[in-house]
Amino acid sequence: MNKEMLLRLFCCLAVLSIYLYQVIQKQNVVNYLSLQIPKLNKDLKTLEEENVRLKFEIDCFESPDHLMKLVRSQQYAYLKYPVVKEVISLKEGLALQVDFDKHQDSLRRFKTEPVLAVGVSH
Amino acid sequence: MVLDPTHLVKAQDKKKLVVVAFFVFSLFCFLILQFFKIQVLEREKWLQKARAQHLFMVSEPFKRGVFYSSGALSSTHDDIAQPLVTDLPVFHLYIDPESIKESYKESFAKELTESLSSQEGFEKKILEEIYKKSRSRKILSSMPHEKKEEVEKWWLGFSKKNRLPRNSLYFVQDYQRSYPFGKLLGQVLQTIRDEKNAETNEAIPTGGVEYYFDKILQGKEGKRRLLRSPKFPLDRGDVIQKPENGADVYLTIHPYIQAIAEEELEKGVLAADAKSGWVAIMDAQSGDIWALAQYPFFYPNQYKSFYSDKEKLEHTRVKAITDCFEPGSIIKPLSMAIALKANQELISSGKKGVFDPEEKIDLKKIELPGRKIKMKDIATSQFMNMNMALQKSSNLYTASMIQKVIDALGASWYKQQLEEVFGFGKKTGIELPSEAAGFVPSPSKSYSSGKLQWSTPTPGCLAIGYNLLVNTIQVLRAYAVIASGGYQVQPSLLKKIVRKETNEILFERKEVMEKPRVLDEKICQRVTEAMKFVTKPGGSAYRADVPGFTEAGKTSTSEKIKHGAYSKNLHISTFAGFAPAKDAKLVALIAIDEPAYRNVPGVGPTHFGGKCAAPIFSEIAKRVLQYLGATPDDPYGYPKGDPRHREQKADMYLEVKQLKELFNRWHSIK
Repeated sequence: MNKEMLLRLFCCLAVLSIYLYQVIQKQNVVNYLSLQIPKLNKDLKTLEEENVRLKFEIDCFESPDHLMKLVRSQQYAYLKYPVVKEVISLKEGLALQVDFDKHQDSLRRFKTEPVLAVGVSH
Repeated sequence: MVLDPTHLVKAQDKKKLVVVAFFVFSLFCFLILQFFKIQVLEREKWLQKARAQHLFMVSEPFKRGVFYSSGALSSTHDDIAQPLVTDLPVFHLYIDPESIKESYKESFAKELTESLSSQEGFEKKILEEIYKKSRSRKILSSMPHEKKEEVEKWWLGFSKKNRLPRNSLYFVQDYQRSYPFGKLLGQVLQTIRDEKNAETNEAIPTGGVEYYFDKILQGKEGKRRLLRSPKFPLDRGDVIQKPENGADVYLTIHPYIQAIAEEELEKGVLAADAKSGWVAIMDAQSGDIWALAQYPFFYPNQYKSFYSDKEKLEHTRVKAITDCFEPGSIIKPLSMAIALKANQELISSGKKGVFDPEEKIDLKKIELPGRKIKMKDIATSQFMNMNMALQKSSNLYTASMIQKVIDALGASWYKQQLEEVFGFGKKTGIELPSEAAGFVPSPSKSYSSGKLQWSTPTPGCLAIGYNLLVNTIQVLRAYAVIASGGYQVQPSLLKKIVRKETNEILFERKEVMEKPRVLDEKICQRVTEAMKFVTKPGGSAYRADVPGFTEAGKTSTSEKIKHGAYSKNLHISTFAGFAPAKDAKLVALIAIDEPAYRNVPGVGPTHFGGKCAAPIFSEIAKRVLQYLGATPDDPYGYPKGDPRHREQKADMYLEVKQLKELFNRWHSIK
């Protein structure tokens, strides 16, 4: 009887100990993670700042003054201003499905060779 | 076992013991009650006190809204907006002088100066601040992130070595206006001052759209809670109230059209050796302002050098909005339109019209009432019709037509047309501060000097663009009426206002489907037809001809008033026009302020609008229409030497030839 009681008590204590251990372990993990939050926050903020700075540099590069300077260089002398009528706008994804061989007749009305340009619209 | 009687507690002692026990228990109860009171009943009060001792609040800065440009080439084209200004994070460097030990103050100042690679003057400044009895002194503003990291690295070693509290040096984050496109649109954008409002901590705009949209661009500061501990870094802590960023403003300005306008304007002003110049370009149909360029340029990140220099100060304002001028001859096509409208109204009421645009008018017979000095034309031609009058910019012809209008319909009717059809004397409502309303004299009013605003010769002066004051946008709006076939358009710089975090559109300018018609389409067509002669051979602004496209416009060289009198040497030379002539895409005004009054051999006087402003229009219109992908509507109208040039097939070739023949016949020129 006493042995059985002791065994039961032992089992209970063991289960309780394991459970408590897990709770404490979980608490440790949570604590560890919560300690990481300020550091991660700081890192995230730094990355965001870096992102803004890089975006600014891209915008500086893409400034109209700079692009106009590039257009005048020999390297881009082949570029021309297309007339709006010559530009076909297709929805993103649809452009890749177009079979240009099938549409040769309709494309013939353009004086210049059609060029497939890929662009992203926001 | 015998009990020791000394160990027995006497009844009296027992009582004392009970009293003591009760007293101790009462004290304990009191303590418990006190605990309950402090921890439960007065929890908030003590919590606040504890927080005040251990924690403190700092404000979390918000991001001021920014401006975006328009990127759409047409209404069906996707609008890719580009930022015209970006808020880059910067850091202000602060020190806590009281927490730095006296013995380290000098070495602190010296080493900090070295770590910042600053000059000796900076060390002096630190020493001045470090000996002040204060817990917070700002010693450097707007440091970039890299510099901040360098200082932090140095400080970590210095504070550890000398056992100084980590918080003796700290950074406060802020944002700085930065301009990816540099001086582009400088005057219109303007900027914010380095110093903030000391009471509200709000940014102080210097002018432009920054000032106009200030309330919308302002956000709301948040709150960050920090632990008061020498080891706790000040850039951490909990954000307990998130900052609310300002809303972003989307402008109608097109950066590439703006860049084209600025580039061509700079060339034009330098070529004319002028004091300054400005260009305004507007969508002729919607009223969207595409470009507002002004030279000399304004660099927003160097605003202090402009505001501290008297000579540069005038280049900070948007002259197209704030400066009024007497428009001169660019008003003549509008006078013709008013005369044609008078014709239409008189004929529809069964009366005789005031004039026939094709009629041969003898200018020598014209007598303008009330004039002490006879009005003259630059060209000495005797006979003219409406086309010739605009082509040669005849003052006499235009003034006489308006005099006939006054005789038939009265001065009030004429003034009403200037105000209600073309909108002179009224602000356009463009989204920029300090717009000048201009001035149109009233027949019944007097000036403050007591002199009548409207006298007998006034209509003649108004007809040729004197005695009234207009701003550039008002002229654009008036020309847009002709260009759009009689509709009134509302000039605007604003497309929409968006709150980025929530994607909430606070305002969006919708396209007005039914614009008010203020002029008959036939009148507009007839005036446009006459204006087309101006930019062709024989016209006063043939240099404004746009290769490959049709155009209509008018040039002007008006004398500026100096010391109360018209100056013969100081002019404001302008060209206003639109292109293509039919279904116009753009309407533009080019103004050159005080071009050099000189006579160049082989060229003649260069201060005329036809010489200094017209070529700028030609270049701008050509490049903008190409950029917009407009189909050339005058495919043979290219200059000689261009392979596409076919003189006889070019637009207006025949009409110009016929007008010349008629002119020669009237003047017996062979």
